[in-house]
Amino acid sequence: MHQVGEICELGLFYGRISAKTRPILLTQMHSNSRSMSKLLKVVRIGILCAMSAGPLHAAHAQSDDYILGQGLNAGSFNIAGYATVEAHAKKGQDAGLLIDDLSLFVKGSVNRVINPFLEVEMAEADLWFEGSPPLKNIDPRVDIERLYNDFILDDHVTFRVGKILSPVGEWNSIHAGPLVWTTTRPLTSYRNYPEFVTGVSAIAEGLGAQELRVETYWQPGSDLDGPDPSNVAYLFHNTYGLHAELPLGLTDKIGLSLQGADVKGTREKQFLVGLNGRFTLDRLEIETEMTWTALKHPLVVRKHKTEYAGYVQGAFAISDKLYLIGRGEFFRDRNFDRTSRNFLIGLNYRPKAPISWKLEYVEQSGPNLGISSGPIASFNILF
Amino acid sequence: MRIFLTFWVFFTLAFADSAFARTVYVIANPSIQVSKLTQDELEKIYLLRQPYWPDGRAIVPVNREASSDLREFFSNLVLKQSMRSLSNYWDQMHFRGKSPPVVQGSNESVIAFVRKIPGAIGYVEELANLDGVKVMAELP
Repeated sequence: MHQVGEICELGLFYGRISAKTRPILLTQMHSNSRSMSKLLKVVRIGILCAMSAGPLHAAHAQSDDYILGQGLNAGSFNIAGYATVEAHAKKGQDAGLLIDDLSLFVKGSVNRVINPFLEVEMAEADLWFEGSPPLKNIDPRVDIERLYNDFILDDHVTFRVGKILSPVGEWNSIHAGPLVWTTTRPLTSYRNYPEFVTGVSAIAEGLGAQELRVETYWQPGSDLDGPDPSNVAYLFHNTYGLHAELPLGLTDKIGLSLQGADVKGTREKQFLVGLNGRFTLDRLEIETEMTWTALKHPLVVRKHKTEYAGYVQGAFAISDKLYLIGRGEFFRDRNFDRTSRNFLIGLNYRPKAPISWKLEYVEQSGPNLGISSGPIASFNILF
Repeated sequence: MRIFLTFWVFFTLAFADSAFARTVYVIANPSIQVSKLTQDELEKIYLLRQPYWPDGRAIVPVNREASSDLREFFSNLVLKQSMRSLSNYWDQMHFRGKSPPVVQGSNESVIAFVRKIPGAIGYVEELANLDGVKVMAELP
């Protein structure tokens, strides 16, 4: 039996994934102030939790130094975050500069049953876009990305309750700008399944000699602080699934995802099967995610009853800090006859592990499902 | 012949210096009920794959600062990874909600931290002033 479940993690985070086409906007003062008050409320809760639980957690006091990329250890708490500032000139859209993500998380561990984590993000805050004065239409979206508590059952098994990132593939679970190679997020990693799940999950890690990791989850009903319908292709509820991951090296792995969900607003059910992998061959890192989704309801009319999507991405180390990135993706959506394709070529400069500068060009063909052609640049930092 | 001997002595000494000059001592808080650790176990601990000691206490691994050549030596020897790969890996783990190793900036602060925190484990280069900690392994 464990005496201490020490690592105290309560998280506040602002941040989210880039590359979803943002509908052109509406500056509504009341929605803005509502977002800000929601943000302040969440920050206040986080700080109160941190202050109240701090004294309980002397056992895992950490260094009080700040470490770039790993945040500030304040007693038993860790406060960290990340930011992405993006400039783009996408075809069919006004060129713009925006804070795509500003995320903050605070995490901590009080004992084996109190291990909260809270992540909040502020996303898509327009600093400037073509034809408009700077800072006139900042209208950030504020979301709770993760809010959960871990119950540590033993060395290998954790029971989690709350809102989590849906474990399909890998990009969705580790989506922070500084931790991914490109500013543009592949459609495969978010378009046709819920990015978040609110419910219960069980995580088993380090299984067998191969250190297998298996996560199962179930969301009865709807998601906590669910996505704005204008920002997602589909809304889901009653989600359940499994993700298994077999490590092949430090970050190399293969993964299998299975997920069932109901499509909100219809009586349609979908079932997704996904495969993901990362393989390092000397200076080349290859990453891939593929999904196949079956849709089921006799009365819902779709162009296709099955959906296919996938991408293959290569990151070649030109030097220790500079990487050449290439990616190709296809997506056959349930509602479109033709397959959407996009190809990306770019550079990623990482002067230090938690900082990256990205420059990329995307060429898109077929129906536009959220990725537009054009150049995109970004600065990303994990702090 | 004299030149050959000179070179032979020079290279032998140079090799001997690199092979024997550096010894790393793995130290832990004395409350930990484990007396020895293998390199594999150390690797699991620093890669956050073994979070608890057998008595259930959380393991708190301690690392040296990123610019430390001792950290580089330890990373290559035990973790068999480059510093950059490890930094990326720990950043990813941090995002997933796991705590990366705590960083301390000197041998003395590693020893002080390990002495103070139950469950802590670290590595140092010198065996001086190890009161209040226990040596779990000597590397290589």
